[in-house]
Amino acid sequence: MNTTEKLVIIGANEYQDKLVLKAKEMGYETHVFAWEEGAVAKHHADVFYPISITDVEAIDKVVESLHPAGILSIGSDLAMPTVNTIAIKHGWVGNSAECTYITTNKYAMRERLTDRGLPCPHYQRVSNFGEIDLNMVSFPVIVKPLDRSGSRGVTLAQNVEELENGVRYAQSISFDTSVLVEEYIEGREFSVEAISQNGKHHILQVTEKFTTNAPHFIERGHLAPARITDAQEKNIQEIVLKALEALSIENGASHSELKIKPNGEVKIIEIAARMGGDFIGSDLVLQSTHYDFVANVIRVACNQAIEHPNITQRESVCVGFIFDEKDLRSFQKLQSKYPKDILESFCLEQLKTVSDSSTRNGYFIMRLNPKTMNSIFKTIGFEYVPNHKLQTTQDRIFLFVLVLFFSLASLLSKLASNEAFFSLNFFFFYSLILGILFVYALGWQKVLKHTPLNIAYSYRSLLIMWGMVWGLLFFQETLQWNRILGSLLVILGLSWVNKDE
Amino acid sequence: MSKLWIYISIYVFSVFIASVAQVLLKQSALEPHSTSLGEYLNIKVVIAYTIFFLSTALTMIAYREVDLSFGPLLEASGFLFILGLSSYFLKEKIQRSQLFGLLCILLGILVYIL
Repeated sequence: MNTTEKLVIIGANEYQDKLVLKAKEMGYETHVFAWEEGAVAKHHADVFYPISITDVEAIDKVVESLHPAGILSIGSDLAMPTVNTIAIKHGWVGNSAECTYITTNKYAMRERLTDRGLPCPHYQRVSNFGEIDLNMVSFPVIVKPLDRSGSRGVTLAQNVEELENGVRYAQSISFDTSVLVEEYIEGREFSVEAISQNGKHHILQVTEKFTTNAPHFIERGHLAPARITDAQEKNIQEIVLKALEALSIENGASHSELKIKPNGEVKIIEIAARMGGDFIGSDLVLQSTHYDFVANVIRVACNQAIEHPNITQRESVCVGFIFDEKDLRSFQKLQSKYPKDILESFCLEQLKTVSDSSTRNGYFIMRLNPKTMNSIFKTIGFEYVPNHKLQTTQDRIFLFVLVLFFSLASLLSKLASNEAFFSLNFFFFYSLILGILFVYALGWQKVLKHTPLNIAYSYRSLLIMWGMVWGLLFFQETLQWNRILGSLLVILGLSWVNKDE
Repeated sequence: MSKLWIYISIYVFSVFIASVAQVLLKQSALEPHSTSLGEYLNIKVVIAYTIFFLSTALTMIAYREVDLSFGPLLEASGFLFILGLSSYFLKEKIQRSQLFGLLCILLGILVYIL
């Protein structure tokens, strides 16, 4: 690469700073545009221009003479119209004006996704409280500004009064005066990071989100990879790929937020044509998958082929945010207990009151493993999801039937044991048993795609019950107290052996 | 009684060799293989499946004396071997809950035979 190639970066906050550093590492000369206030990246930028990221004209005037390799921003919805308008004008890589509009206006996005048959919450757009069709509202509802990202301006309204306040609050935060009133989706929250180049999408990671819950849903942290089953992941990926198409996202990063309802149904909350903030795109993807998301987004912007994300292993990494003294104490506890696992951290000296995601007081990024996760999550107050909760009713029924089928192998073994060794009948039973074991092995593989191993194993305790049933029915075996007690002890033992620590 | 014990031993032995086969499969899965065929057709996998065949036949023999309701309990003793073998060969750490579980399983088997 020509080392004097220039890269234009819109935005200079802490998040963009990671982009600036990566671009410099890749040999680009960085030209960064943003208001001076909070411009952390200013100090790393080769050239810094104190121009508002929404002032397209002023930025374009400067950029025109730079002849850069590309223009981009990674974590700001606000910067996207600027990035894409300038990119289109000069024939650089970006997304279309249509894509920019529908990915930065929540109402237009809902309209497009619903129109394409993708699962979204019910919604209405209103410019004031009086416009709300209260007959169509089923509480609780979410009220949010049309054009802000993160948790800014979002409230949960349980009744008419809260709805009125919510609308006023969202309007005070919004650049547009309209707000979105939408159905509240109960369930766990996830986000999906993807990278696209010329309309070809690659999904990199599904991340799990933890928030402060109602009424403001400020992000408390994220975990990558999310604790979901393979089937849930596949379902999410399919929906996201369709949504990226529907929103005409062709180039660069995307961040899709979804919820999985307790019945397993997935709903799209919103999708942005940029990287996930909160260190998801910049750190969690890299730490967990070892795929350099930021470097490859730069490659997309500079019209170079991206590295193919060949992700085979995912390590668990989380980011946690510090809201108050209690969070700070929890973090300090983790720091002393797992010093090697803390990858990065920061905390303001004077803690302030947190009103939205931009006013949180600090963060830490840390590595986890299945053994430490439960204890770490307890310390920082993230919801611990036991493995059995990941299973759907269908998975449970399938496993139950599979184990019943497997128990037939024992029944046949017992029948075969009365036959002479190596006789024709013996081989008949033997092949039947092997057939059952083969089908069972296939079924078991299918089960493991949907169910964690220890839960799947616990179902094998049912074999004990089936053994008793078949023994009683076909071989006149008796049910004595010691047999029942012994069986119960073994079942208890099996549950301990398979316990989720 | 002694005849029953012989058949119980056959059953437990069949469970033991099946556990060895499990560890072989796991070892093979952890090793890098140059081809995808090599993942399924290597000496460890072939030996493991041969052992499984043998173990199935031994179980059938054991059922001559062992009650059908007792078989699955003896099957549970496999965890003793799996945990032992995987901590020895695969250096996997045994957790306290697993040890407690094993104790329960062994006690359960004893109570059943009483």
